[in-house]
Amino acid sequence: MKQFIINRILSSVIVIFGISIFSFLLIHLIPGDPVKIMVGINATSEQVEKLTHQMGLDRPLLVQYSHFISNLIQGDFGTSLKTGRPVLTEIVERFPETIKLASAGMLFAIIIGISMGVLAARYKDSLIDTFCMGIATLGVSIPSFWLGILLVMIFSVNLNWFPIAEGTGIRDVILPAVTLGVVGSTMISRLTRNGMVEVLSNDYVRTARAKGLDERLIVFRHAFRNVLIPVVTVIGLQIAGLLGGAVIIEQVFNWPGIGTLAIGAILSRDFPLIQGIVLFMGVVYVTINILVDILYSIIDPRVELSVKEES
Amino acid sequence: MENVLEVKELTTQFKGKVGYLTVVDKVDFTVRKGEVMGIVGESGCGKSVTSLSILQLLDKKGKVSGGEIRFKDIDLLKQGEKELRKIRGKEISMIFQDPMTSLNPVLTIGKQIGEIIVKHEKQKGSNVKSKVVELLQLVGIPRANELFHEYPHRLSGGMKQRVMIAMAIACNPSLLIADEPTTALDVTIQAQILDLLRSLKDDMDMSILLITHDLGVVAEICDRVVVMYAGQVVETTDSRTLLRNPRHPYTTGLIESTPQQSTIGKRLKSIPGQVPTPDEYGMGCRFADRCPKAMEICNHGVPPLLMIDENTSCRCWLYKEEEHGV
Amino acid sequence: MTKLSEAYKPIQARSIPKAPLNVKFDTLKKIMSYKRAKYCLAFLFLIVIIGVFAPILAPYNPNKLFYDALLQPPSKEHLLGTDAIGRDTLSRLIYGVRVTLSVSVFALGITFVAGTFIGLICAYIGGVVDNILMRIMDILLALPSIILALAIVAILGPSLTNAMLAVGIASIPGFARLIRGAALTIKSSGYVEASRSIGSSHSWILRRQFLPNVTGVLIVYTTLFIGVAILDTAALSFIGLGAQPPTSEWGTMLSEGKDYLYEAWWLATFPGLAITAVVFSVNFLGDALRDVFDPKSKG
Repeated sequence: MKQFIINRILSSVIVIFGISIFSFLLIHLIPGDPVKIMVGINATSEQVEKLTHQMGLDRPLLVQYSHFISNLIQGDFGTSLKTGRPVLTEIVERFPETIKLASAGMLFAIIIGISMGVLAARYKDSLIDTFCMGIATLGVSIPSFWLGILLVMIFSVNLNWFPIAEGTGIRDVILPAVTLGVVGSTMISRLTRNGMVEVLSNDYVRTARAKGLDERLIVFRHAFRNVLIPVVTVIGLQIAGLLGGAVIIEQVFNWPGIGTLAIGAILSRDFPLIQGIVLFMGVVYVTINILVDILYSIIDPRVELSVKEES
Repeated sequence: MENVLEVKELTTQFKGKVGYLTVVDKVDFTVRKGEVMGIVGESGCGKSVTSLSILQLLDKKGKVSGGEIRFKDIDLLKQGEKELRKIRGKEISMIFQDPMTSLNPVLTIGKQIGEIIVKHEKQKGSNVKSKVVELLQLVGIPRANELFHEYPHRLSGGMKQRVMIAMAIACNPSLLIADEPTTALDVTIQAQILDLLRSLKDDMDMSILLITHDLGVVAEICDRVVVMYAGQVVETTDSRTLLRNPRHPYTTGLIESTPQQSTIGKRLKSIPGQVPTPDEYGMGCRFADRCPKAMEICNHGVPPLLMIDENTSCRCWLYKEEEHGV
Repeated sequence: MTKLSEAYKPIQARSIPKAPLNVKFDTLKKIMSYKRAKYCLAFLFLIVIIGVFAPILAPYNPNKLFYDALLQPPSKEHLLGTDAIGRDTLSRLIYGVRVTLSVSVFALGITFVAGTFIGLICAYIGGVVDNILMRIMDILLALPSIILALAIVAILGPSLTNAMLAVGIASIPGFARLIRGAALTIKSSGYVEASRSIGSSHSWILRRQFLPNVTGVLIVYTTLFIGVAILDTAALSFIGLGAQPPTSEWGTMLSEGKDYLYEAWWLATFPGLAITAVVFSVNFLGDALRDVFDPKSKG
């Protein structure tokens, strides 16, 4: 178990290292002089030179990178060109809002996805099954931002249940979270359904039936726990997807999260901020993946065993 | 002697590509109190389906379409799902062929045995635990206390089957249905499990319905035997008679293809061909194609199951003739 | 944006055909025998026709401003209404088909060519090359695809072409890994070993054994990827990083319509409906194709 976690962390460190190179190189991949793009067409050559020097772009690449890294380690992600504030401060300010949105969305995705999946599996090949899986295909096909707009039109404009507000309270999070949740639920519901159908045909389910257990106990205690393993993996993958999806959804609902920050940064060509966001999101994503793997080994006792056998 | 289980004209069908296929065809047998009744036959002849039909554990494609299954005083086929649940695991319990897949990999052993006690005996907490540990000791599992919290994958096949048995006897059932309980196990372990079953049967005063393809197992443990072929009963008798004086050519073939002391050094005989599938059943005797004694009549009609003496019946035209001659 | 992972989902050794498929007439016939595949194909064909004949089919020039008809609800003159500066929604939708089609072709082209190339190289050469390329792919995959696309747009600057490029490039790693996985499974399967053992040359194996067998997987996933590409490019346009006004692009139209939810429901309804309908049929077709190429994967 320990060995497993250590291995996982080590390989993640390598990936994070790679992401740092990628985000470092971002600025160098820009066709033309990034500094000129940043300061604008009207800038004097002195201004350009000053900023070039300030950002260290006149030094050799390797030196630049080692500076970049050593600054990162000290928590210095650079300074936003637009606001003049530290990039990390900007990100840390906005990130909780994205987390709030993504986790509320995840909650909905799990509730919707798992209940639809279990329902479809229990009534396999019936109308309920067809309906649930049709919704799942629709969920993959509908643009999340349009779904968000539709929900606003229905529930805010027409019914006025959730007024369009500026805040980020519980009432305000519901619509964006449902939007994210519906889109995120499709894979969970498909997987849950197929997993349940498969597990319900297993020998140990027959054993459970032979014991005289109630159908509900069989479905939830015996079958569902086994389905949970792949589902948790997918949920883990979905978290990352949801963070990405949140970027778009934030724009629909004017949510002050990382997404709006990133889009603003790209539109105003605030490269240090863009670099910071890319790196930050990469690290968050990798960390989530590690946590999912660890959770995985807790749910499935066999994972631990296979790791032990390997080592 | 009192009958615990009486199966009459049991017919089970499976949904096929075109209509229903009859997999178990009017099967009759009884299980008496305190005896071990065996069902023997090759794979694909409907033994397992018969056993699953009794507790109605068939999957969605299969259904019992006729007959009567009388357990003590009730007809199991007339019971609703709710009543059946009270019988399953408590009055009649079951163990299966593959202990590796028959235990749930994500629940502890204690939990899996415990839940049957919780369900049927309405016990709770530490009572359940002590009962489970007691059961584990009873089926010969060492370190029962520690294993309580373990997951099945920690155990060997034999140990898992012991756990299955512990589960099955948890509520003192009157009938234990064992579907190929030793097939997936090593030979040495097989003998241990059979010994265990026999001693449990005696101690707990239960009857066992044992499904097997292995005549060795029959010789070892069974009191009486039903031989099944292609969904039908072809011979019923006590196991001693069966092994010494087989009536049906199929039984003879089975015995001759089983390695024995007397066959050492000789080439083992085998029955040519294979069991027909339900969609291949013809008009005549289903064994006729493979039968060394097949006659013209065998292709024209299914022979009836004929009482030959007090405890022996056989489904073969050979004996029909004999009777006519008498 | 989460759909990319959806498109790549069931790769684990699932969708690999068991023996060389005759990917020609038989397959087409089989596809057509699926009712829903037939309808999807017909619908998509119709969409292509609309795109090609947009100038003939559209009632007006999409950029023509009707100053006397601002924010008009659907009527006889303007079947799907007009927007805030008096443009005809239907005409813009019809011209939007062209953008959507070119998105599918360009983004798909990039992903397909680069992804297949990298994937096949990794699988066939193996060793160090495989290792290095796949590590790079892993690193890129460690970012949510939208973040990667955003980063690429950040480098190139916001425009429709760049958005398509970004969506295409962002999907290369996943696609390459998919192709590599499929190719590896086939490579280790019996019939390639068999043909190697009878002394077939590398290029022969590549051409006659490899490609025909990867084709099934390729067709299924490129179909599903088209849906992803359309959605992602529309999303980039919606947030202002893709097609720029006054281009008639569905995502851009939605983002304009979003500001008039109270006044003009039609502006934010029809473009979304159009995207959903196209992507839905593409996905449905993809599912049907999966059944055709791998009957086992269903249910």
